[in-house]
Amino acid sequence: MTATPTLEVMSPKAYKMTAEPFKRSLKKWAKSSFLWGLVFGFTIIASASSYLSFYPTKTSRELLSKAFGQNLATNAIFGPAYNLDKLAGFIVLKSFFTLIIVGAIWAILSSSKLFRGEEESGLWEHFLSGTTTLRRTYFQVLAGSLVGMAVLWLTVTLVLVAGSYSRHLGLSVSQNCFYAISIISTPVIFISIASLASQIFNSRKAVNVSLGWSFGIFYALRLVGDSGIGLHWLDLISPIGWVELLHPMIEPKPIYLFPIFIFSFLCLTASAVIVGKRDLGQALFDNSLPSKVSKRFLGSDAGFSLYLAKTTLYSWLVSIVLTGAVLGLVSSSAGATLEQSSIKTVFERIGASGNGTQSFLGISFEIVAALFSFMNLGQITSIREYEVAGHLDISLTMPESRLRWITNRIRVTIVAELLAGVACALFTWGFGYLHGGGPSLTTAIFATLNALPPSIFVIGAATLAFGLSPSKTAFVGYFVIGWSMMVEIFAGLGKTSRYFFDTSLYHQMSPYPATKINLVSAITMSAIGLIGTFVGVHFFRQRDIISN
Amino acid sequence: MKIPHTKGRADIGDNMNIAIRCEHLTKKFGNVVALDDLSFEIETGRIIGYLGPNGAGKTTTLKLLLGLIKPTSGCAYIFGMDVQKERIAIHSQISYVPGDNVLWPEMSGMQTLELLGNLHGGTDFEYRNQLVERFNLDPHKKVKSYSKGNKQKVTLIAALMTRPKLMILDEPTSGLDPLMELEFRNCLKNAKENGQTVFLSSHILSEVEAICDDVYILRDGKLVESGKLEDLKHYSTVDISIVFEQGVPDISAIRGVTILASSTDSVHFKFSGNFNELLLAITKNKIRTFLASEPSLEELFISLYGK
Repeated sequence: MTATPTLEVMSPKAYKMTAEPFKRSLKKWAKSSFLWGLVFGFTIIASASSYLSFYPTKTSRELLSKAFGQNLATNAIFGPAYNLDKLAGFIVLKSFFTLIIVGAIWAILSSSKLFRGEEESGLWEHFLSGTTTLRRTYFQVLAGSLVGMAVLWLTVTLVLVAGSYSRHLGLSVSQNCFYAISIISTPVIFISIASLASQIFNSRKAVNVSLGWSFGIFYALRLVGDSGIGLHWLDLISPIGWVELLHPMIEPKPIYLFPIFIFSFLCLTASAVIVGKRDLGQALFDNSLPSKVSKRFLGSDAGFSLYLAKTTLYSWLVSIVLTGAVLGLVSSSAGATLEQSSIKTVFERIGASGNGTQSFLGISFEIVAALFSFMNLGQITSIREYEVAGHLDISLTMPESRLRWITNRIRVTIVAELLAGVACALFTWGFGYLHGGGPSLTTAIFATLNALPPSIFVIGAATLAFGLSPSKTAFVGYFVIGWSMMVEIFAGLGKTSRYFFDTSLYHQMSPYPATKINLVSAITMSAIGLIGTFVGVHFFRQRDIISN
Repeated sequence: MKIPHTKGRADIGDNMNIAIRCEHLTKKFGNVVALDDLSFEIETGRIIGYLGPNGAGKTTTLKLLLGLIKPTSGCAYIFGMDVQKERIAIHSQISYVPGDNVLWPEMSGMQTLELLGNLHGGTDFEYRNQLVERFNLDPHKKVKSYSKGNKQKVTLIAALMTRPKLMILDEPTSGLDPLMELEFRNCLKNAKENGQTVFLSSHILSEVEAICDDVYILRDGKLVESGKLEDLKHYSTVDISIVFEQGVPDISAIRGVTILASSTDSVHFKFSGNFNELLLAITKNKIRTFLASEPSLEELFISLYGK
């Protein structure tokens, strides 16, 4: 008889806590922080280069400063402009708010995934079955996120310092360092809010919705605060307002780092308290009870398609409608500014040749076209996600043809786009009318219609990829949009080949009402989009369903 | 089992009693052959166990039958209809329980049942409510809050509630507790009594043994054994223990004998050869006790995998 081996039980202090959550969080953040750092850094350097190229003389810089310095419309949208006769002031005007918005969206999506999405997917269950606790896992994910922010700061700073040195921009190291700090402030704020929201809501979707609302409210507060109607104090209660008040590059006010720090610290502390009290998978608001679903949504595949898409489509609808409202509100004053500004030459370079308001709307509706493109692409990529998740296996074993199934999905997308288009046109016209200016209703409707063909092209490209090579759906769609946007940015910076410009969807779209609608181009883009959609649907009907 | 090629739609009149017919079905994913010239026929009103190790091609077969993927060559028919060309007509008469539980997390169990019932059509609402009770499911919670077993109950109820002619089930009892497994077996027995056919892929051999009429065993994409369970068992080894009164005769030379243990007057061995030859050899000495046990499905399964 052999003796049963006895295993020695280790004392609690002898265990080494796993650092896996930290490593995973750091890996996710560090990679994307480095890449975004490069993008942010090079965007700033490109802005600086365009300033030197377009405003080489003192006179042209003073003219720019005069035109934009007091403009309420641009103040509201991009934040107040200071010292536009100097390179530093222009850099802030051109890049700061764009980077605030991009940084916020990136932080929202990434942090909601790490703080709630991975817990929801069951990954944290694996961590907790090892040598760690829920609270430690939370702190490790947070630590990884903050180190990721340090990587972002370092990358932006290095690119700025190197760019400044190589291009003789004359920006000091401290200016660059503080600008990088200002840029990372927004992601830090939203990481903090995401960590708290992840303790309050137990689904990533709910966390994302709460973060989206937070961003919208903070942005709206500072927008009203900067609109020159005596409500500047609103900047002081908006975290985005605090970031704006840092005034990087020009007159740095590091004092505003204090409310940012306090706010983030409070969010993180509250998160730490809640995470220490709750169970895995739970949250302060346990929404395990289902919300009521209308019978219409559950009665047919078409209804269910709408049910699946409605939350995302509502968000897009609100974004597009708000964009329309802001365009209507600021179009006349922005147009007046453009009339006096040498930046009009930039607009002319990309085809806008009407008066100031028309030029402003012509270019601004390219942004609306980009929003439509993103909205449509989101719907097509969600179809692919539905397939990957295995839901399609269930749907397609019902007595429903593949053709009808995918047609329902695409129909929801197109109807939503048309509704968003009508709403956008009405709000652009309505808010312009209330403000005593803006475009006519007909102009607003045609400007919206003119913005649709690029998004139809995007549906075609993404559906074609979905039919032929489903795993490439998102890549193809985002590449088409990303490439077009990049070409537009280059179009404003200097002389480039016409053929290069022609590869952009938004360059093919005429900047109506600054010019006439280019029907040939609009019809061609729409036709290519429709053909791509038909061919993609055809191949989808023939191919294997590929789930996880 | 050799099945000749038939082109186009199989004759429904001739195949009214054939639920599933696969003809030389082959599926390749790149260079990997998932199914290799698979042919079989399944009669209506039977419960079929479809067995095989991981990666044998069971789920691939099910997805081919459902028209979710296309065969590289060969064809398959359900109730005489081509699974690729007449998917909708077929799907209106079948139900499917996928291997992975992929329900919509934000919906409740009842909302899911309503949705699936509406999409499929023909829900027997009284039976659905009975099933909800029999499976002891709280249908008013969100799917995401269900345990694995409760999620499985939702898909099983959805598959049963329309009383389809054919049920294709991929690991249907995964996550169910023993009591619910028993309830599920009762449901399948009821389904069989109603003339429904069940094609069940499973790893739980006791379950297959308890409820299936026929068994199909797949290995490396090929059908290695099929038929009634009782018939198949004859192909497997029999476990035999004999105690002799006057010493053990020499049986080691008999083909198919694998001696597991022996003493001066007893022997324990596995046998898979000619019984006449064995009987002639062992009856040379007087036998005190003779014990032969029929192989379980598990032993059959292992013996086939061991080949």
